[in-house]
Amino acid sequence: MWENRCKVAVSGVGFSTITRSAEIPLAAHALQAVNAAVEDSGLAMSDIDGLATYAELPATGHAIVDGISIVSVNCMMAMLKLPNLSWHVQVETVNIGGAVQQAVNALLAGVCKYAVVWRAMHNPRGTYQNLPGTYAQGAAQFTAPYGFGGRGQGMAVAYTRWLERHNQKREKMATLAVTQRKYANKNPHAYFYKTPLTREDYLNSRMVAYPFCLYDCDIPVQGAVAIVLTTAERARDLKPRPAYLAGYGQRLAFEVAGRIGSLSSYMEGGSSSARLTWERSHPRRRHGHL
Amino acid sequence: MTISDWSQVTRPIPVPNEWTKPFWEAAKQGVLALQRGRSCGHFQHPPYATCVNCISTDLTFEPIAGQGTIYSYTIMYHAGDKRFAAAIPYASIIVELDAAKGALLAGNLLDSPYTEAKVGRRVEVVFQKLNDDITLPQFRLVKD
Repeated sequence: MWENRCKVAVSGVGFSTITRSAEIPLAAHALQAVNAAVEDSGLAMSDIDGLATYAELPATGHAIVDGISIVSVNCMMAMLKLPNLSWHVQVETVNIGGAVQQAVNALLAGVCKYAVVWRAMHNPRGTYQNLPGTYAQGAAQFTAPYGFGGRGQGMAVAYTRWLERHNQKREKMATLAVTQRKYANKNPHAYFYKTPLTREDYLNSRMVAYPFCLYDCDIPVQGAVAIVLTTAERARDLKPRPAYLAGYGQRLAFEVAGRIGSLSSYMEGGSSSARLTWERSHPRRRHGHL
Repeated sequence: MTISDWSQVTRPIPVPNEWTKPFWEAAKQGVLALQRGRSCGHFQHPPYATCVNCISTDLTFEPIAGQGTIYSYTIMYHAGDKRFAAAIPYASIIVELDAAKGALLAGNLLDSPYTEAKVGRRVEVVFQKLNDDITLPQFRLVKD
């Protein structure tokens, strides 16, 4: 078990409006989410002294403009001008989970008391994957000339490997998409809140990059979500019932950029992340001895 | 089944760098050469700063036989990438060479219908000239 199990809690959640594509600058969504999260916690904005995000623009080939297509920590600082700000970070790897982990660590280290973490995602109007380049630089020089333009195709080859090497069927993936949609149908903040998905819908949908069909892909939207994190002790005095953080674990695979197709690298990254999370969060297992 | 029409495709042109230059120089001569660690003899692709087997930085490029198998593939149906829209549906494949297990090369399945792409099928390298500087290693099925 991790010695810091349940010593940090989520004490506020906020959602922005979500639109199919960009109508207002992304900074407005992020601000809306952060305001809502702080209001949910019962804190005053001036109590917030930590900020963290993962700002990456998921759509490739579009201009990165702070406040419009990403919302950096610096952008949020400029909007909020927090009088007690004492810690902030912006992570580049392991997605928004990395920013949450850093905020947890900062709270445990005592360098801030109330941290806000947000994820703001931009969906540009027009083509999501804008791939007009004449040249293929870096790791892409071995993939892009063959039509491996987007990230999805790199995942598709690992998926094909699983299907054909392990004698699997696409029907199994229908279960994943349909189950996730059922959860979305229970979440009023979800874009697909009122849109059901059946196995038949899934199996009859058009192919995008075999073996991925339309409903294997997530739908790009524009919006933001924020949470307030604090220590378990402080969380007791706040308005919402705290959701304690039992543990976390996230690790990339040992894989060279541009080497695509390996199923085992996905398995290795995923299983090591799951193992770390389980070891840390399980009350009766010692960390590192599972 | 029809063979994907590559004639209207504008492939992005690889830009060789310090690590990758010998690969493209060899391809221009019609030779497939992969990066190899001198210490342990491990072949790897794509090229990297270190040998992924033994962390040695003593690396070279050596010619390698162009026969292998389709490790995996995807069939592209979406025309989002305008450069390749004219060729859909097309097969982008990953090849594992017989002489370099673990080194994975991307390519297209040329001269065969895209439906012929299957994991485990035998392929061999062919060279496709893009311009005076760059020639792409590509793959086609080996006739039994």
